Amino acid sequence: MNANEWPTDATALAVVRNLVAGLATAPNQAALLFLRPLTDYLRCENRGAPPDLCDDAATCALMELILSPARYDHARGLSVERYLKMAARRDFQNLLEQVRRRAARAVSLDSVDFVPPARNEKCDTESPWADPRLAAEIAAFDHDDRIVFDLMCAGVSDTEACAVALGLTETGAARVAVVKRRKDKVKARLKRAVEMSHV
Amino acid sequence: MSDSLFAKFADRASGEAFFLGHLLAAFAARENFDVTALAARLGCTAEVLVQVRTCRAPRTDTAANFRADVTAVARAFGLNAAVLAEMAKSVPGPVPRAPAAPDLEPAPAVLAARDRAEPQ
Repeated sequence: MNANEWPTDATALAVVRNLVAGLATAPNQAALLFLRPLTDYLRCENRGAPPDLCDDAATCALMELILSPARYDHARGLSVERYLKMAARRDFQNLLEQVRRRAARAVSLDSVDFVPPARNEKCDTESPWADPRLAAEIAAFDHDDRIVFDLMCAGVSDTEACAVALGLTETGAARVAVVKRRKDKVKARLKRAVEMSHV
Repeated sequence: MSDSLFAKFADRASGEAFFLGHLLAAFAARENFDVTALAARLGCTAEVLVQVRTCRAPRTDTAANFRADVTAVARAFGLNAAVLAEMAKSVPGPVPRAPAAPDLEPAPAVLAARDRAEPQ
């Protein structure tokens, strides 16, 4: 069988039964049968998302089946394929949320010690972000502006990373354009605030 | 199957005590074996070793289960069963060991396998 194709229901069920029975080679069988089609499914469902994220989510879902095969109940009428796809979709969403939270948190921490002392003319220990106008502008950012701002502070310039963090559903050029518009908007607001602070 | 995808899965599996990869990693760390040396000791290639790592660690609740699991994996991948048994026995397993008395005597198959094992 092609490793990219889903196995038949009967084959998939047999592997799950081997897992439940504790057959030593069953986890390997499960990985050989399900890993590639599950990863392909997630990559197809989430075009534009980082492939690693899809791989990790597929791995999580498959690992859960291997470690707790008895949770799959064939009597409920759900095929192994559908069961794994549902689990993988859920794991993908969870991982995506973790990435977003991590990005936001990393930037918050980075911004604390961001200031290059040589350029700080006001005070050696004061962050330029402490300027009241700039701080007010940043505080007024909406959720998406904040994500973009945080990523910019973290030095993340990758458009795709930004698109994923924003949860964009657009693809191709439209996806790039949305990110660019958002970045330009944030930059313009920051620039305006800095100019005002020097008046 | 993309090798890198499966290798990533095997790496992840090796972090879980449930998997044989976990035992093999512990053994390799203790003996200072790299992947090539570990594969050679088991009598397989590094590519086959990736597959082996995704198998379940042998059950250690009874000698019969341990023997059955080691034999199943060794047969499936053409490994030296004696060496695999030795490795699996030498590092702590994922499930509680069998009660002391029955486990004092290694299973005959394991003893026979040990006899065939190459000296370190």
